Order: sequence, then C-alpha cells, then structure tokens
Amino acid sequence: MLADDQMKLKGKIIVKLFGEGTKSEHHAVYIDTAEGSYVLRKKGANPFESPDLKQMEGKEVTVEGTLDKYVFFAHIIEEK
Amino acid sequence: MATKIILTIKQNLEEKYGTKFPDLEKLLTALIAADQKKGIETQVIYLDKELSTFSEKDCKDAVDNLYKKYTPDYLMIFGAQDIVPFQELDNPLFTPESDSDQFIQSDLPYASESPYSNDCNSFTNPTRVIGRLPDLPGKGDLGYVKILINNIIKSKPISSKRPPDYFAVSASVWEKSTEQSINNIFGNIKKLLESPPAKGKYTADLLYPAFHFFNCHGGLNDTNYYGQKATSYPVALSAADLNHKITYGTVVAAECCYGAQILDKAEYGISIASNYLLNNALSFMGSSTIAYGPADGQGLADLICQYYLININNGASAGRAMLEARQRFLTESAPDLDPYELKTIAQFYILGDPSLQLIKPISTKSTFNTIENRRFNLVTKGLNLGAGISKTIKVEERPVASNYNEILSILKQADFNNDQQEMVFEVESSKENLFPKNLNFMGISPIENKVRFRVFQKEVYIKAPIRKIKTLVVKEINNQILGWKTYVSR
Repeated sequence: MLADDQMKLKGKIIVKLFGEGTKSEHHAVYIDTAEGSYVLRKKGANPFESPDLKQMEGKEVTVEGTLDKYVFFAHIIEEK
Repeated sequence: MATKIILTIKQNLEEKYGTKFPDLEKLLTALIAADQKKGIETQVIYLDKELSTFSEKDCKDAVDNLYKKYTPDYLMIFGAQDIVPFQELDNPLFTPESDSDQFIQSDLPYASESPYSNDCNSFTNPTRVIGRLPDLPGKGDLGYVKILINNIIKSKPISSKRPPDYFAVSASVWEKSTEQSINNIFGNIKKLLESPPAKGKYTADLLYPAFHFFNCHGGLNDTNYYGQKATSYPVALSAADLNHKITYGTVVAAECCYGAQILDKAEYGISIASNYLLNNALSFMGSSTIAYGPADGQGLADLICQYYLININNGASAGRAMLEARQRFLTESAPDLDPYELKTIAQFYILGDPSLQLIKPISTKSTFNTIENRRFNLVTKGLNLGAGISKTIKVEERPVASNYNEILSILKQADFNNDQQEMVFEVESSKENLFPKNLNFMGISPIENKVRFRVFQKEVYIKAPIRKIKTLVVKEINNQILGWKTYVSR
C-alpha cells in the first residue's frame, strides 16, 4: 500500500530537451505515460546528469515516488 | 523613528510549533526590543483577524489592508510558504516543452499597491520595502528560527570595502556573461571561479568574503547548484558545503534557476538559501523558478541580481536594495516589457529581514537623505512605473506578419531559419493617457496600434550531441520593426 503522497506510474523512458532557451536547458529523462510526460529523477540525484536513467531510454518501466509540478521523484524504478 | 511591521499567521505557527509557539513569540519579542535600540519601532501583527481563509487572495488583501493602515518603512513576512503563502502568478512563458513552470511563486504582489491578481502585468509598480524571513517548511524547527533571529538582533552594518571582496562561481559556459556582471558589481574578476573546474567543497578562506554571487544551474527541489562545460554538469555548490564556513553577515545573490527555493528538509534536504541563513548569512536574493539571461552580454537575471548587490554595497537596507533593484530593472525594461522581463521581475525575491543594513552608507550631509524622503521617492517612482508600463499578453492566434520579409531578414541576421517555433505577445495599449490623440510617431499612432513581440526559438547544434537553444525577440508596431534581441541559450 502506498503512502498518501506516493504514486505509481507506468510508462516509457524517453530523453528529450528540457527548458528550451532557459538557464536549465539540458537533455532530461522523462517518463511518458498515458496521462502525460514527466521529468523523471531519482531522489537526490543530479538533475542535469542521469547516465543510468538515460541508458534505459526506450524501456517500459513502473516507477514509485512523488510528483511535484512537472518532476516525478522516484525511489523505485522497475523495468517491465 | 523608522517603523517595521512583521506579518505572519498565528494559527499556522501554532499548528506548526505546538507547545513551542510561546518560545517563538519570545524570539519575536526579543527582535522588537533589539530593533528599538537600533531606532526601529517594530510590531508583530497576526494576519488571522483579517482573514476569512488562508488563501493567497485573502493573504494579499490582508497585507494590503495592514500596509495601508500602518504605512511602515519596512514590511517583513515571517515564515516559509506553509505559514504565509507566496503569491502564485501565471507564467507568461509556460509551455510544457520549454518553460515548465506553470506558476511563479512570488513575493512581488506583496510589494505592490495593486489588488490581488494572478497576472504578472498587475505588479509592475512595486513601492514597498519588503522581505521574507523564512522558517523551514514542514515540521517546525525552533532552533533554526532562533539562529536567524539572533543573527538579526546582533547585526551591525560593516564598513564598505572599495572594491568589495567577494566569492563568485559561474557555470563555465556562462563565463563571459558572468565576467561582465562581476566587473559591474565588484570592479574586477580576479576571484571569479568557473565550474568546472570548481566542484564545490570550498574552504572557509574562499567563502570568507561578505558578498557571494552565483550564475550556475539549479533544479526544482534540489539542494545543489551545478556548473556546466559541454555535457558535464558537476556540482558547483552543495548546501552542505556551507556548514560552519560562512562569515557572519554574508549577503548572497544567485541567478540560478530555483536558486532561492525553500524546501521541506525532511523531504528533500535543506535548500542552499535556507542553509545560507542558518550559517549566518543575513540576506539571500534569488529566484523561485526557471530564470533567464541573454545569449550575449547582460540582461534579465544578470541585471536584477547585480543591481541588488550594488545597492547593498551602497548602504541600502536589504529591502530597499531589492525595491530599488526591481524599480531599476523596470525602468530599463519600460515601457513595453517582453515576457522574459515579466517573468524575471516576478520570480526574484529576498530572504532575510528587509530592515537590515549590511554595509555602512557613505555619509552625506544632504538633508534629503532621510528615510521619509527615500520612501516618498520610491513610492512615487513605483506608481509612475506602473502607470507607464502596459500589459504584455500572449496571443493564442498568431497574426500573420505583413512585414514578413523584414522579419526574415532579422532571422537571417540573428542566424535563424524561418521555420522556428513562434510565440506572439501583444502589449495592451495604455497610452491613451500619455499621448495626445493626434500624435503620430514615425507615421504611426501609438494609441491606435499595439506593440507586438514575436518570440522565436532555435536549436543550435554546436557539436553533436551538444545542443543549445537561442531565443530571438522581435519588437514591432503596426508591422514596423522597432528592434530585436536574443536571449540565453545558456
């Protein structure tokens, strides 16, 4: 059972440009779900570099964590 | 005697601090006594009686009512966003693909006479000297509040050094822009660090200067700033780097995205801004959301941050330094603000007591140098700015450009193609009050025609896989081009 603020999402890992034209612009990892795309970040990880997540590009995953604005902070990422 | 009101919400504090709430009230009482000795008459006013709900609108209305009642020289909001909410303004640049901030968490509306609104355009008339002394969001931490208030109590302005000593870090890719900022503020770039190679874990000696400046990356709910060189983003500063190493009285300006966010420590760890204050900094100025700078030279975040530090070094209180920085930024941007300028003015705020004077001003014998005269001038200037700045609104149905060939020429000059994504913003005319009805300017009636901003974004492939984006803003009226500029791609 998930805690109140915890969510589980299913989707595909994609990499695309985040923050075009801003000071935050970089290639970010997203989870693309039926409800929308969210930046995917492991809690406490560098938001600009995520080589381990980038290696999962194209894979279908299930993630658990919290959603704040446009970022999903995951503590569990499992490949299907 | 100068006057200060501290505004907060008692019910939220009681719920957060429980049995320790009376101890918190004692700290505020001690602050009032210390202010009295410094010549400031301070009152703590609970907003609760003015509120039917704790909504942003009710808080804005209550602050406005109390400001009008007391007309204080300084207004300090006490508490993080879970005590007194930020005002969430609509982000004019919001698009999921580019600027992901749907809202801008802002204290700017509290600095303005305009009534509650979600529209940044409503608050281009700042007149109030305000700041926010935040506690930590989430679980009440009285020890944190005690350190911050005791630091305020013992503060005394220090003599200005010319040039002032500083600690500054820039993402390597923004070196040229940061050099200009640092030169403008401090008169030299001798101590500017680039990241990489700088990777945090600085010595106390390096961190010793009273002025700190950052032009780095920052991320939502993240406790680091990051440098950049090509596709490498090393940590340029970690919140933990500050522990026990910051000189009492330090003042900080951070251009970084989310540079001044205040985080729930239990959820994400203590933010850089909160940890600076915990480690004896007295004022922190930064952004709540994604920030911008120009592609070349100076603009937006560069400007408002450097104005703030320059004003501090000239002896302004932290709150006045911020108000004057906002007004100068608006003066330079007026009369027609592009959407990037609108977001910038809304997103930067200060954390710390706004009445603190960190640097002794150079003494003058001018009889005009009174707090009454300064406040009168700031109010007048703010209201005039608001009256002269029109609203900039995004147009959903983009008008066809009959000056298409001219725009193509600009796109070419700026090294853009003609297939870039375009957003259009129009400035709602408020010029009826300014211009005589029969005035024509360059053969165009400024009353009958709207200023328009066409915003283009372009990907620039430097060297695969490195990709950057350049933004072009073209300003026009009645299809006549008035000018253009490029922003970012940082």
